[in-house]
Amino acid sequence: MSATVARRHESRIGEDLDEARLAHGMPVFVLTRPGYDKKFASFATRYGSVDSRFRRPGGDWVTVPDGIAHFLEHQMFAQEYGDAFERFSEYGASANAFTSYTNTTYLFSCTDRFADSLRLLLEFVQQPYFTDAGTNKERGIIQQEIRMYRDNPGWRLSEGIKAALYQRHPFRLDIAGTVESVEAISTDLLRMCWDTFYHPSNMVVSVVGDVDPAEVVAMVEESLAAHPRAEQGPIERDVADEPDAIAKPRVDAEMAVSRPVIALGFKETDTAVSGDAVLLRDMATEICLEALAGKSSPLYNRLYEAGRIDSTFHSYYHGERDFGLSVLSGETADPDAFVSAWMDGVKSLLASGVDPAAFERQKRRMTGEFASSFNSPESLSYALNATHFAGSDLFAYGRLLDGITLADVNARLHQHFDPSRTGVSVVSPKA
Amino acid sequence: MRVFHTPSRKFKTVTIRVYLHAPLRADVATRTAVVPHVLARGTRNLPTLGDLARRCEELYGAGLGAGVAKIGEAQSLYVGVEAVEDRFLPQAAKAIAGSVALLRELLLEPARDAGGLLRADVVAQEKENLAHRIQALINDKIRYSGMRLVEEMCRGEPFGLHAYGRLEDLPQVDAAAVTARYDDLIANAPVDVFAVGGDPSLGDELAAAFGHLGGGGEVPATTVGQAPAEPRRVTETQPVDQAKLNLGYRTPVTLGSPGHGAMVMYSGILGGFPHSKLFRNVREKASLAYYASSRYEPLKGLLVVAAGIEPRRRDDALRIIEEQVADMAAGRITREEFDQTRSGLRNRLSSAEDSPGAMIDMAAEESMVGAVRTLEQRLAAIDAVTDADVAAVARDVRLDTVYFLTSPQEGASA
Repeated sequence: MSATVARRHESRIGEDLDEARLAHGMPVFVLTRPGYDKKFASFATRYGSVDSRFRRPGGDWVTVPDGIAHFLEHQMFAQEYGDAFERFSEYGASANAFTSYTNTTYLFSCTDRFADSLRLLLEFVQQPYFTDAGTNKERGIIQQEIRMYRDNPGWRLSEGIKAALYQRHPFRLDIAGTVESVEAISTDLLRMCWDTFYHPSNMVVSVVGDVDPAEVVAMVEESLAAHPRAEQGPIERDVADEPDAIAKPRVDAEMAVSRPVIALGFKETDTAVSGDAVLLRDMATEICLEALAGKSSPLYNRLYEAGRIDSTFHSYYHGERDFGLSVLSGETADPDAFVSAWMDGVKSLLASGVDPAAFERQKRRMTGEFASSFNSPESLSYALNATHFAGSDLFAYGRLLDGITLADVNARLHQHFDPSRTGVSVVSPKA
Repeated sequence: MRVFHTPSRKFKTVTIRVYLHAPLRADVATRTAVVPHVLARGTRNLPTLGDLARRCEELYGAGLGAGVAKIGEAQSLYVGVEAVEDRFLPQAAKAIAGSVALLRELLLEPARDAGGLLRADVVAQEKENLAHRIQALINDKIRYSGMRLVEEMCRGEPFGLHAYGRLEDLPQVDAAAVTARYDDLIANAPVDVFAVGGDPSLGDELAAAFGHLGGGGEVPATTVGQAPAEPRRVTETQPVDQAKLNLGYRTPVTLGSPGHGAMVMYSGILGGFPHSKLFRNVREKASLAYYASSRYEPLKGLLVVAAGIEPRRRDDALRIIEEQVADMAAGRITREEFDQTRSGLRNRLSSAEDSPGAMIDMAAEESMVGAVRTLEQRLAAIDAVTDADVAAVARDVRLDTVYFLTSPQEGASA
């Protein structure tokens, strides 16, 4: 017992990060926050909605129903003693979980009885209690959840842009699956997915708060020892053979909204990256988007002043290892005019390159925002997990930001903002 | 003017918000709502959105904001900024001083035209944007149904108005009206400045920057209404997949009354947590809803229950919700429900001390009825609540309005 805890220091923002590697190589990260009452812990597996076809070493390829990772997330809280949520409530903690395209994360925050809650988190995620009655009851709740999302215009818009850009990759589907696909999810399938992906070799724990890192590491180590698992080699995931070309130029939906809402998307095709390159790709893309469409950009100002966009306009980039997209989105009276104005902007930015002064200002802004991100225990914990799954680490961000050059950004601009790989999603008022 | 500053070294940032409070009134609410959006369009020295954004970037990503909030029956215009403390930035960076100066400029030195009015083109555009913002309230069905419940329930009371005002009042809003409203607020509105983070000296800097403001009037008071003898029932239809069932109750207990802590406990036991009666009975036992919760509005004395359900199961959901409220009134509360709610509330109150935004939200609400409490005072108020206290406030909770948003097919048969 007692794994070595290694400490690293980030001098600019005055933060220490402790890390230990435990059984099956599972890392534990602890970021101590002196003076904070709140303690936040998350336990995550690299398993999300896109992992619908996979095989374990020596096994056969399996295809599972869409939405199963999310269903499993719901089902894990059902324990032999009752509901794990309620146990957290007894400890005065607030627990939750969420499923993304690539990860499932279990978390809690508390101010008292941290050790009890951390033991509980580690235990219930490693010790599922599947029953057919539980599976059937949860199905009704999940179908309500899916219906709730369907009434959300932002959700419909984002489903539309994925469907426009992606031909095969399961990223194009809803994380929760469909009312129909969850019908096919059985207790046996849930157990098989848990057994495959909820293995320490595929997981990470991160804790943020005023805690003792050595004690946290010892508790995780103890819990892993209490739930021993056989060695498991790497899981093979079927990364769909997604072409660079988009699926269809435009996807339309109608619902009870006040005005049309539009998303103009650029498909990610730089999909062979890992480690620090993932973080660099994020940074460079963000700078491109700000130079193109940020509030300080000339085009944003021109379009705002002309009434073509308003304060609902925003842009974002979401990139994972093998898929991703950049989006320009907002309400607009005229979706076609929105597209042509921004496409003209992209073409002229491709011709001129990113303005060096804008590049320096964005670096400055991101330096400040990296520091402020350390205010929030939640987002720190998620960032620790995400950078680990990407094959990099949280403290690399500051160093990489210092080193990024205008040439890096312009290279990314030309690689990613390709006018031939764009799609549009529009949600219009229902007549 | 009052300054509420909590110095702290645990955050990376300093967060500042300045409120100008006005009574929420139908005749001026809409033009008041336009003001912050006009201010956010530019100052005398930084006249465009781009100028302001570039200034924020130079200040290492200072986050500048402006808007209106409804705090009880006050319509409060606010401007705010969050900026990284200089000690975490490269040497010689002065992000905090620069951000205070920028916030002051945003509030006090708006760009004006030659005649001294706020710019007519900007007012016209932000008026249009506000119209879109009001119309867009329909897009988020959870928030929309919550807003419609309050609108129906508090019809004729100031609280029934939205902080954005009313679409029908927009045509009367022009540059002269918005300028007059802005000048009036600056001259006469009570002003509260909240800040979290930084050194103790920041409080003095804020007093120097904004000290001349505040007409000396009191912050607007909120009236407490009563439920009608027979509850109102409102059904609205829209093409939705999931129906929204919202119930509004009245309580005479408000922030500042002796029963406040007990009422906070009441709402927590009923529907504030995953262990609460609503979540367990509506969602977990009956598999009826994805969400089912309650929320207490402590300035106005409202308790609001909200659930997202299958359209055809309205009657089941309504029955189970009313059973839970009846159980509360009959004092059918287990020791576990009581103790778990108390520790859950303690956790929430303590955790709020780690978020500058949450600290300011709580302080702003409390400051409307007197002193801002410390965490210890807030915790002590919860700890002091007994079963008998919860039973006492439970007896005075009265159903006022049932609002149901559903699909046209189900609405026709409802």
